[in-house]
Amino acid sequence: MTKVSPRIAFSVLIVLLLALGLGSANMGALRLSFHTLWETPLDDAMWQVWLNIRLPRVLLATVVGIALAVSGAIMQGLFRNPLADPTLLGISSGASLCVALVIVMPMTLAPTLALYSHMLAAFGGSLIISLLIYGLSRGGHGSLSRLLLAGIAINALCFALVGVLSYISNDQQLRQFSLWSMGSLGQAQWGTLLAATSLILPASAAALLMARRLNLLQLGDEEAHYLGINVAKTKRQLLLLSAVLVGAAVAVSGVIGFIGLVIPHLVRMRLGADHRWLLPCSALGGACLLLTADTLARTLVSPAEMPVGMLTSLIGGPYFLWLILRQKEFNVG
Amino acid sequence: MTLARRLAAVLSAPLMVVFSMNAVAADRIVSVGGDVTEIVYALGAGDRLVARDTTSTLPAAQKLPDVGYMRQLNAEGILSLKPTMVLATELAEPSLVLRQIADVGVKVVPVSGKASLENVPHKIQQVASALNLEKQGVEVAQKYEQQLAAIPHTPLKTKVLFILSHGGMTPMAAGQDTAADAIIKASGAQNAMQGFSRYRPLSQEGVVASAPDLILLTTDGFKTLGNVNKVWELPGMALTPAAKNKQILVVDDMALLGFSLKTPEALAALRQAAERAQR
Repeated sequence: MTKVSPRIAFSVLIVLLLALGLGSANMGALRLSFHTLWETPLDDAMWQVWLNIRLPRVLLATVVGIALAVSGAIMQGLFRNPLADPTLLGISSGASLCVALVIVMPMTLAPTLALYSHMLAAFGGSLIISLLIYGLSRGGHGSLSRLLLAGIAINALCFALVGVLSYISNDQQLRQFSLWSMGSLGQAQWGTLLAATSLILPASAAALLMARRLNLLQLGDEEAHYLGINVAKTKRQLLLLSAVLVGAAVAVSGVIGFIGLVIPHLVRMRLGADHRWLLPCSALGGACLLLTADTLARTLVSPAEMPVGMLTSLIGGPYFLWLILRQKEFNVG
Repeated sequence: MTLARRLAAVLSAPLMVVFSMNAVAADRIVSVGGDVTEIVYALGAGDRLVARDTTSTLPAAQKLPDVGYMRQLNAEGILSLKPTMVLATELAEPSLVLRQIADVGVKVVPVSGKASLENVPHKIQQVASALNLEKQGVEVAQKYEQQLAAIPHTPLKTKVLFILSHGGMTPMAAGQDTAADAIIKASGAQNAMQGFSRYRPLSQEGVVASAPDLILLTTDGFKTLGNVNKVWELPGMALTPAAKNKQILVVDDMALLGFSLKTPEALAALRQAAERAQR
């Protein structure tokens, strides 16, 4: 496949993201376009709806898309494996487990706290697993295969426990949990948006600053070491960044698949494996895909809404398959 | 940072702006919860509804737009129907979406979600007072209580096994702490499954040991099994007294498990079947 100049690709993606952002801020179940807004006074209820319901959701979709794609790119680079994705280390399954726990065994919480119980549970779950993985990565001289196996074990354990919880749950709880695990951005509010952004943007920026080191890691641990990199430390830092990104995304939006696996992959197919371009372009690509999917999720079946995780796969899956089938030799990086 | 400051100024403005899109005071109500929708219709206020949720399976409500499952609502979608009030079962709470809707100035009225026969009049009263139909509310509640009182509930020896069946899942038996258990007890019969709470998959030995005299299924559950013969083919079922005497009862889901206005009807049907199945 012909490779595209990264500068051009980056500019195109920026324009595309802006266009999609404007488009989705203009669309919704409520007939509320920029045109209508222009003609209504600033203190009208329409403005309230646009500012407090639609705008935070559009921004949240962008930010979560960035988080998932960047963390996917980091994981694929770190493990030097195109099949790595943010779910690999069991962070999102840890989040799932805690959410299932909160749903099946509800505690009596203060009303305000109860509103955010799923988010807090998901964040707590990701945090616990991230710390566990960080601890594991400190021992064993940063051996990645050890981490990978630990991730598989954590995933299996969490899913087994989720299974136990589904077994003892009732109909309603089961449905509630399965909806959560299909992902939704319906919880978007300024508060949640700010909380997520304050984790995701710094972590993404930090990942970008480490792009050169991620490139050198591709040569193999020994070579990277001779080129003057503290390999173990770099790996730990990258793991932590990826964990923060996934944790923040899962907490506000549930499990949204596909983006973390496929967006970095797609970008690599078109641009090559230079992380200095791969990371920012993946971020933009992830944001574009999630923004599109979420706009469809909230408008297609309005006044109801669809789980967005389902749509990301439905939109992205066929395109990805087509790309792979079109490509004669499959060459990663 | 002028944009951010401007944004903050707008956001901190009081949120309680009454939704001014429909100036006329005609009620536009969105009902969330099958039992809530049923009560609205029973109060004669069905024409004031503009939308319902997925769990509102009442035939009369099918023509209304569906706002989705109560735990996955779409704030903007509901607001696009320009509602003046949202009646929502407490089972939909806690919900950020309902909070957002309330923040825009739409009245959100919570309706009790407690699953018990005694709670139904309370639900009726809550909905009625939200709709300013207190008088009708009293009537509907009285009718409900009369229907309930007319059903004998003297103890019966009949053991009832409730089977929960969804497509693609092992059929499950209802233990204690389930809606089915509450209904069976209210009918005077006994739940054949004792000693565990919630639902458990049917096991051959468990079914035989429980020796049910009557099998109870919901309409939807029955459909997933196909026909009566499939019920008798479930694990261990063939060896039960119910199978020998072909005692089975199929009742509407919402009526049996929803603690709604149709529940007395379901309870009466269960009582009759239980009396018939008594050995």
